[in-house]
Amino acid sequence: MIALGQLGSAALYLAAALAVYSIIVGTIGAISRDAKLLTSARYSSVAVFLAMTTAIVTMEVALLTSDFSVKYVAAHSRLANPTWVKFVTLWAALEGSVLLWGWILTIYTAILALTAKNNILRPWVLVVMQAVQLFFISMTVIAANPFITLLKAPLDGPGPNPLLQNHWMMAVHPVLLYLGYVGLTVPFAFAMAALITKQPGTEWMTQSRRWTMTGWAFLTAGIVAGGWWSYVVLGWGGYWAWDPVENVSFMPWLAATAFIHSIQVQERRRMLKGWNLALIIMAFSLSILGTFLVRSGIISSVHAFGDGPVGPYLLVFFLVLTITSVSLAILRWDQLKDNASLDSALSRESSYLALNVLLLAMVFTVLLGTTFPLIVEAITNNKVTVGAPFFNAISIPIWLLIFLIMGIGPLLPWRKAKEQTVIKNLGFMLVGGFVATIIAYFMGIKKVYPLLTIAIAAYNVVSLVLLIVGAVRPRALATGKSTGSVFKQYAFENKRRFGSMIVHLGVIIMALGIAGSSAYRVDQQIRINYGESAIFQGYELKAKEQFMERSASKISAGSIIEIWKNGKQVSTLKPRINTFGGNPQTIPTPDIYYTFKHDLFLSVVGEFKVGQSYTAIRAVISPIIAWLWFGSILMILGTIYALSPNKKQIKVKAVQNTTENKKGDEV
Amino acid sequence: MKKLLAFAIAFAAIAGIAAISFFGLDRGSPNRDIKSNMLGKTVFDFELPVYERYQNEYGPSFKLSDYRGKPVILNFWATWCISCLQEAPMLESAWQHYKDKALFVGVQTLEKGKDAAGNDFLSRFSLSFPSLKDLDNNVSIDYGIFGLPETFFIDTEGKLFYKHAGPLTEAIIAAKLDEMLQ
Repeated sequence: MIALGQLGSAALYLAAALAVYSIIVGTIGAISRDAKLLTSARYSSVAVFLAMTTAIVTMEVALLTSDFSVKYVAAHSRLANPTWVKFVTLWAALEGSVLLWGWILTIYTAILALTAKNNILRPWVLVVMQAVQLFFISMTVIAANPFITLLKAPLDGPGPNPLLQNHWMMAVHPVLLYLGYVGLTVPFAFAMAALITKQPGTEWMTQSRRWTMTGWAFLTAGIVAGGWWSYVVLGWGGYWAWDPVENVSFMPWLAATAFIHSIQVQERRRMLKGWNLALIIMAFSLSILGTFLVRSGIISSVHAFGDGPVGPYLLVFFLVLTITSVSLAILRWDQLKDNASLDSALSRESSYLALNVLLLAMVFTVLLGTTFPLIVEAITNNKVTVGAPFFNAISIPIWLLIFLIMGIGPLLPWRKAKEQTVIKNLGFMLVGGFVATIIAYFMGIKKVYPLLTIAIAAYNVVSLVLLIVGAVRPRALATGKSTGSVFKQYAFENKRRFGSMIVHLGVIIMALGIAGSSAYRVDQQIRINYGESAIFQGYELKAKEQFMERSASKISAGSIIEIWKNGKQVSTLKPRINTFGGNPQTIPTPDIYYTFKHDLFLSVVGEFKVGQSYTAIRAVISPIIAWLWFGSILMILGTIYALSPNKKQIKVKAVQNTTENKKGDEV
Repeated sequence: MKKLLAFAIAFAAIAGIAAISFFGLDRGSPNRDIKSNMLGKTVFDFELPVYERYQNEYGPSFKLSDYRGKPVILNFWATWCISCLQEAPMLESAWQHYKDKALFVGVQTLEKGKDAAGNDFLSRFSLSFPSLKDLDNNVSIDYGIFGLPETFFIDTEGKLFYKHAGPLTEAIIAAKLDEMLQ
């Protein structure tokens, strides 16, 4: 019987060879316009996907059957682990993650090969996708082969990093991020194809719009999922620490957000061609640079990633990628010049431009802050750290400005706004913001940033109301229908516009959640004797007893604490310390009482010994932190709504389906 | 002119990023090896059961403080630990070289009840220096083991001279033994 390691390696080599073939044939075919060669290149994209699928399935089989002759399984899996942990161990370490990333890329490429519109762009899009893919596949083959076979297989492995086993969220978060990063590859490939074929018009972005939005939504979900994981697993009660690993996922997100907004200007006004290309090149190359920064281990991070041989590999790819794409853009410089120019500073396009500038300022801030320790050490040999205070000090004002533009931008018409209308609208919004601030102030919110956030949130909510009223009222008046039915029709017929409003509402709610949970967080260490209770922020915490739960893969020990409010028991929390067999690291695992108003978060701190007469816990109250998660869900739902096919498309598809069914019946 | 400027800015940015990245790669990872608090202090004493094959020479149980007067190189290992597998043959050859100067002691830890696997490990590499069983992992906790393998160089007075995280090389053993015996 062939060993799994050999099968997997063979599949990887085959995938790499097919990718090379597809690039060469695709390039020759595109230059000579040979339809046969192009078809062959397209189908070899599907073949690459099948080869990579074989590799992935082989790895999963090795993990699920605990085949420790495969080095990756021996180094990261463990016999006693539950099946779901074994399954997700695929992306618990570097080699497997790269494999997964490459596989997702091949899925996207195969879908593109089969479904992309047959035009001049398609062959080049596939060539670029294959080139990126070849990089990832060859990295697994050369620098991070997970299928290396051990001559002497150990009898058991240590299991994945305990922090990753501690919550099911870890099964979701990396996959979402990869789906997001890979999603950004598609518009990048389209942009490159547009440059190569001298078609820097709007075709490339219209065709890749769905991919861009999907990638952006996955990236958003991935980042928030990471924050949530940090909140429920790490025991410090926070969700964002400006750690390098977080920052590097945030940078492409910022660039992609700028891109999503900016492409509308090109669609409407044929402007900002160069900008849009620069933004997508930036978004994609930042995702590679970020991966390099954290995976090469050259930056200190709480996320302990090993340093492997992948660092130099990723850096070379980043350089090839950026130098090629920038050179290509310079070569096509004359075609990238805009025909139109800004008509007025008071227009939709200028607001998007301002948004671009602000988001890029954020990217620069985050990039500088993340790499600053490295820069300083390179120049002065001193070690410094850049912490949250730097990032907060710079990013909060930028965000407030972004929110100001977010409110007014969608209300501005293209080309040139009438000053009177703008002043009227701004008036409503400012009054809304002001009233909300006054109310908040008298409700006890006295800190500056939270007040500003509330003001700007109210200002944005008024803006959304104005947008809807502005769209619905004229139609209701003209048709004589009820406002409700016109609203329904509007929301249904303008999915892209209405979806964006839902996303913006999500952003506002998220901003409030972040402001509330960070500015009014109460964090306290309490020692309670078992059988007694302590008062914390209006809650009575009754420490009942210690508990211990054992399973084959882990041991949990912790305290049972009843939560009482106003003489009634509202919850029982069991903060604990988990130990995963095979690893001595103990993982404090908090338990959380979620409410709409605030979360009560308890985590065991300090020494925890069996038979101890007291429990020492860290108690954290985070006001309206649930809004953060809720807002992010709205952002995703809004994107899905914007992308959902509208009525006409559904009808066309339905007709197609029925004809296909008929065909099927005839056979 | 504009073209030149855009070109210059883009490439300056790429060159800047490349420069600091190369610096970073050249420097390697920031040092994450946490220094042991026990350096220079007398290490925790322990008494652990000895693997059957070494009992003739070292008795059923091994008490560290009984071996004062000779440097002890205490190596923590487990059968699932890949680096330990790679390290074992080197340890045996180093032991053959430095038998007279120091006592090598292996401690199997973090895998309770894996005697059969442990015996297999010892046979596979024909390890002739004694190995002990840290059954309830207490010794690895006392020594603050973070990952495996970790090795502690204990001097003639029972004080910790050097701690090494990760696989050792014979050169390191030789250098540290020399330093210790001076």
